Amino acid sequence: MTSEIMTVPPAAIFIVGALLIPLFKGKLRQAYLLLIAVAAILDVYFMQDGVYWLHPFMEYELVLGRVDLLSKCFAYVFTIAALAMTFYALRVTEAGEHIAAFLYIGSALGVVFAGDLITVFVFWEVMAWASVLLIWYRRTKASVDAGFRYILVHVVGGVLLLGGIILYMQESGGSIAFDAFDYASPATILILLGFIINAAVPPLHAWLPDAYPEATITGAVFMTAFTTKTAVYVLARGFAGFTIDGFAILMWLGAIMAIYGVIYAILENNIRRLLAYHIVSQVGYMVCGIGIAASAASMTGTSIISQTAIDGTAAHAFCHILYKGLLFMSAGAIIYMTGKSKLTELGGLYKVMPLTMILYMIAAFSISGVPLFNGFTSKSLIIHSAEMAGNAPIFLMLEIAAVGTFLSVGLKLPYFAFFGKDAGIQAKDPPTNMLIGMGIAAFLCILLGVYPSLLYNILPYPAAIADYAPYAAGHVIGSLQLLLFTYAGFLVLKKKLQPENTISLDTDWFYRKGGVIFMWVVNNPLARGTQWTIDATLAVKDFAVWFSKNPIEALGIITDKVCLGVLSISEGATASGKGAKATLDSRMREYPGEPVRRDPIGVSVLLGTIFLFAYLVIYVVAPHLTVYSMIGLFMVAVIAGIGLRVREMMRGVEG
Amino acid sequence: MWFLERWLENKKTVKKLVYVLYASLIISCLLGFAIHLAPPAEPVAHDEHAAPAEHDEHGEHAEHAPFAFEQIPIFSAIFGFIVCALLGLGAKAYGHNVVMKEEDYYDK
Repeated sequence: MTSEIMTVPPAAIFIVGALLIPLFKGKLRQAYLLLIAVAAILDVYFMQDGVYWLHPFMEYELVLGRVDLLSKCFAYVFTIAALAMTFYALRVTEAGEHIAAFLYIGSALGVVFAGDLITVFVFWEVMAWASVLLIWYRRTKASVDAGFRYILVHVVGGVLLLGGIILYMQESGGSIAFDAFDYASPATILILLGFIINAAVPPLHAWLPDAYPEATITGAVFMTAFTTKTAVYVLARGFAGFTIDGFAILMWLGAIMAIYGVIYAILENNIRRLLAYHIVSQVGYMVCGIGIAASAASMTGTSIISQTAIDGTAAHAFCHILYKGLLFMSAGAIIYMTGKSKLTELGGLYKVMPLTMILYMIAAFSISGVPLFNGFTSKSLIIHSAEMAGNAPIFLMLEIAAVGTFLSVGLKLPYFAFFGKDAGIQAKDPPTNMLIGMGIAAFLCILLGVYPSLLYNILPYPAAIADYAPYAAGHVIGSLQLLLFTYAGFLVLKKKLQPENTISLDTDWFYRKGGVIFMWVVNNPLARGTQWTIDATLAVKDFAVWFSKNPIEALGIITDKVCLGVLSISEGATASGKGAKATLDSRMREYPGEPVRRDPIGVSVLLGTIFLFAYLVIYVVAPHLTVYSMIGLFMVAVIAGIGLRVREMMRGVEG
Repeated sequence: MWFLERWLENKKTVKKLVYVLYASLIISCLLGFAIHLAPPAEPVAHDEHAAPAEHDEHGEHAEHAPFAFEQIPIFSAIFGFIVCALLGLGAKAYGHNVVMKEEDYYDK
């Protein structure tokens, strides 16, 4: 039945759709935006597995439609999230912001369905440039600066990726196929670096908590979904078997990442930055899942653990986009309605924004893995794969991150923003369109928590997890114990965990402070050095011009200047010295004066004599003298000349 | 949401809520013990799957806690509380001593 329905690349729907946005205004534009988002969902639904939409490009073939369970799973959540987020962003009047968002979504979908590395790279770059506009549209100094840092990091990532792709094309004899890279080589490591910059793996993660909190209210919501999750997709596609001599580097990076984000979130005061650090943490679970798959594949070769881990990664990416989008929508609603973004300035909001509070708590319970919410069903798959692999350290690290997640997102943020000390803020719940967007996300968070099979059936390897029951009694009770006792711990430590009005230095310190040092080097030593060479060259030119106007007079002036200097040093200020100086000044004023033509014959004879004398010195005397003695003789002659002239000046003889 | 407001502003209800928390802490631990002492899940579910032996093995694998520490009935409770305390205090100590700066740090 579905075979009869023509589908087009979903990327094209958003990208072409974006270009037509300026044609519509007001309500019509709102309807148009929603229509595009719905069309994309239907398009993905009707897409058939296979490889199609091939385009020749030079001697290569670009693949715009590599459709299988993995790419479809990501495309589903991308398009669904796009719909919810478009609802949320409907009130944005700026056409440019909608265009940027749609280009961004479209290129993310382009990456997901790309079957070759060139297509991946092109969409990768479009994604970076479209998303930076979502930061700049905030139009504050902080957002402009953060946007520049953001785009610089992503340009570096893009260059690494391109370098890796070119090396890979050489390595593989001209293949640009985007398949699994299971071995470490310069090419695959460069590609991996390009990917993990976008996945925000520490220490390359600082762009994320730096830039997302400075984006526009709606822009930040879009950004939470696509950049990091396309990176997770390409890692799952390309590096699910990647080990360096059997060492599954992504597994450890992911687990460290999960805890790293949690620690910084505890210190954060800005609500969106706190949540941004939890993107780092949650993406850590997914990166870890990919690493578990790689580790299991290299050690035992059994596919069931790897497949479970990849399923867990895809499921967690799916759920994460929904609840993280909802968290950012709620935080955005707080900022939009109150104008405040710091926990130290918020408090008691449950009285004025009750719906926002409820929707926020749904997302917070989801991310914390509370049973009946979607995080519970997806996070546990990754942790379960760590159990299956028998990897206790990874299991414990992920559990630590789970505790930290509930502590910050589930307890600290809502306590200090919605409850706690009443800051007496006058506000109300956000407009309906925002609530609808949040409602869609909240509905799906609960739906997938209650009916996990809806999600499990569209995962890449549904057979591998057919037996897995997230709601096994032991698992539910264990999770409840973990969460309840975390809550108890929070109540004990409430005073200590009070938000503080500070910022926390992260690895962006190196390029933010390094940038200041770099600019100093450019502005001072480098710029001054350049200026000096220019000045020196110009001075030489000016002197040559001046000198050539009347060389004899010029030579006389220079000689007299030197002699005057000698005179003033040896005799101090004398009457004759002053007279000589006055004469010299008048000569300089009159310079170049009349060119000397008084005695042309005499001058020619003199010059001839000088040249002949020079020949004599060079050909007859010089071979018998050393360089030093020649320099010595020359110095003696010069000093003698100066001495004679100085004596003349002292006598008051004019030049 | 006025009812919630009146409810939460009342000192008595807050006190009651704390008791509810204590009770749920205890119940969750008791349930942990109950699960631990209960006989293992009946193997009926497995009979439905006429799957090869390897498949079965993995199915069973999934139901048993593979790590020794998970055999402790209230492992998650202890773990949650201790990790919560260590994370909270550790992160704040790290923050105060190393990374936390005034907000205009980068503008200087």
